[in-house]
Amino acid sequence: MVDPTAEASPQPLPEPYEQCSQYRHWKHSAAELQHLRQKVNLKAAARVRKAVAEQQELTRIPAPEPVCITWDEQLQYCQYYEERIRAYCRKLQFDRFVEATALAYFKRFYLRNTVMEYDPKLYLMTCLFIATKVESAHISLATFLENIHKSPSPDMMIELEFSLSKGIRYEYMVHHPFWPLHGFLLDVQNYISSTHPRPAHEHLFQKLQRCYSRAEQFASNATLTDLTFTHMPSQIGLGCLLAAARERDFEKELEQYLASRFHAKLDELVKLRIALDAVADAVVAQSTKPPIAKEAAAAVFKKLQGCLNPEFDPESPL
Amino acid sequence: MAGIPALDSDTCPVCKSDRYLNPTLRLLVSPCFHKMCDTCINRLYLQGPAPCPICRTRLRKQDFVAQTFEDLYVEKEIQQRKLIARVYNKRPEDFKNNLKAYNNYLEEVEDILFNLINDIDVAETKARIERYKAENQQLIGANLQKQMIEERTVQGGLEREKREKIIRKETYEQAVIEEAKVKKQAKADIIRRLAEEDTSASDVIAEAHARRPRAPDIDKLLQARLPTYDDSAADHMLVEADTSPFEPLDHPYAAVSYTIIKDFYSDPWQNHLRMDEPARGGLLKASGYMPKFAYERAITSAFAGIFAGI
Repeated sequence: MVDPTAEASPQPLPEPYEQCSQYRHWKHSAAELQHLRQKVNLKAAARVRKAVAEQQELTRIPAPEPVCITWDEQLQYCQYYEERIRAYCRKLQFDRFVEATALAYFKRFYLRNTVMEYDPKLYLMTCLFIATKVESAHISLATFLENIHKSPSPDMMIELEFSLSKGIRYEYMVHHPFWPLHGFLLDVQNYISSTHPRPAHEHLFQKLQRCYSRAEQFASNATLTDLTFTHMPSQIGLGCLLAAARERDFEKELEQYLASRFHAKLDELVKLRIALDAVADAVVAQSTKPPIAKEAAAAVFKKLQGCLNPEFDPESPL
Repeated sequence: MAGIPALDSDTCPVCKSDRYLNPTLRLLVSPCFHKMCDTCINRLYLQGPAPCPICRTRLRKQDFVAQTFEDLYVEKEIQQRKLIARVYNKRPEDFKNNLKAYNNYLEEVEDILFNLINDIDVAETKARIERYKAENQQLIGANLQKQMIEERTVQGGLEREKREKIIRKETYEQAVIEEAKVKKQAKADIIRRLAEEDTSASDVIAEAHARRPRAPDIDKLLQARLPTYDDSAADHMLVEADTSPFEPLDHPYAAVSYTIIKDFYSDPWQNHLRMDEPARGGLLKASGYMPKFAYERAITSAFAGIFAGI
């Protein structure tokens, strides 16, 4: 279904995904991600020091020089709260789309903001609440807060909603790997039925099915990792399927499928292959990774108390 | 304002005559915002400047203007605003896009206006304005200039549109007349040839049909007649943000497909629908649902951007 005008024009037309906000604004390589996090952290730390100094001048109460948390501490701290988001989703019985969207918002927000200024304990609720609305699984704010231990007030939630929306640039649409994964499940069937003899179909379909259910678990693990930023959802989906195929003895068929399906340039294929392997390794690593220990998060929390930005504290004189 | 306002407003406060007594009554407003009928104005100010009968401000006959708003308070506010806007004409750019500073400035202007309109500390406020004027003389001048240029550009645009409209109309009318003339001529020609020459009638008509005059192309004529303008000079003066509305059809894209979508797959997502059972499947089909829709979405998203960013 290639548009005839596309061949005539010297520059190939862009593909639709290039226009989605996820590709334009939220796609970063791993190095870019690290660089961005460091930059955001340094800037925020400078702001905190300045604000603390100003506060000291105003109140004349000597305060110790704040020791700001580093970017990797923040990352760890956020990962702890990402686990909490998952726990809340399980408790409130939200489906995986809500969960994945809430995680994506949380990640996107803390990519450009810091925990020194915005409290993740509050923002994770906001992420979750907005995600229910976006994924059309809305529940009322009252019901939502009832189910949460030590919940913030409804007014506060509404206020936070705005600042969160600003933080994610009002780009609520998040593409998840679930639909692509499902698409590959269907397309691999198509491939099997066109290349294998009919008697083998039933057996292969069953294997594929088992492989798919494992891949779904990988896909929801992938939403916890930085893959959301570094890869396209379709790549994550296929990568998850590949990782599952390695576990469930389906690798041979899937490799054949990969070799036959994509008719692109060779170096592009090689790059795709590298990307898929990276995704597969990342999701496997994520599934065996132990969750962030409460003690580690508590340590960061303790350190955080010394370096909160007083500008964001309503009780501060600033 | 006691009593019935409608009647009240139609009474001249000086001579107390109203519309009942004088059907041609016309009320005018003085610069000190007092109403008077034109008979009174003629009577009082016939011999040059004289004090206002209500507040003793010296007035001239020419100073009186027709009232735009029924409420004199509004009238006063509008006039004051116009005056102040000539002095306090800073723009957001003058604050280096510091929104807070600009807002503070606007707040200050509103304070001054409030004072002037409600007659609070008038002398002090006027002194304040003078001080501001002296301090910012240059900027005020520059901004006035800018404003004038802007107004002229808008005016020019409107005038140009008007002119173009007239030209368009003229051209169209001319074209219609021309066409009618040409047609008439062709008809006469056929009749003449039929009468004089001895070629067969069908040949004459066929030939005439082949040579029949084409309607003049109005677009081409228009293009020749409409003057072209060089907007670049005006554009340099006004740097505007991109405010063009979003056009969904301005972004063409190519959809690359690597596969075909089949009608049936063994799909765990749709097992619970049991489309193959006639009773249930029929019901779903009647509602317009087709499994193919879901397949299409899944497969399209599977291949969307598979080579992106690697």
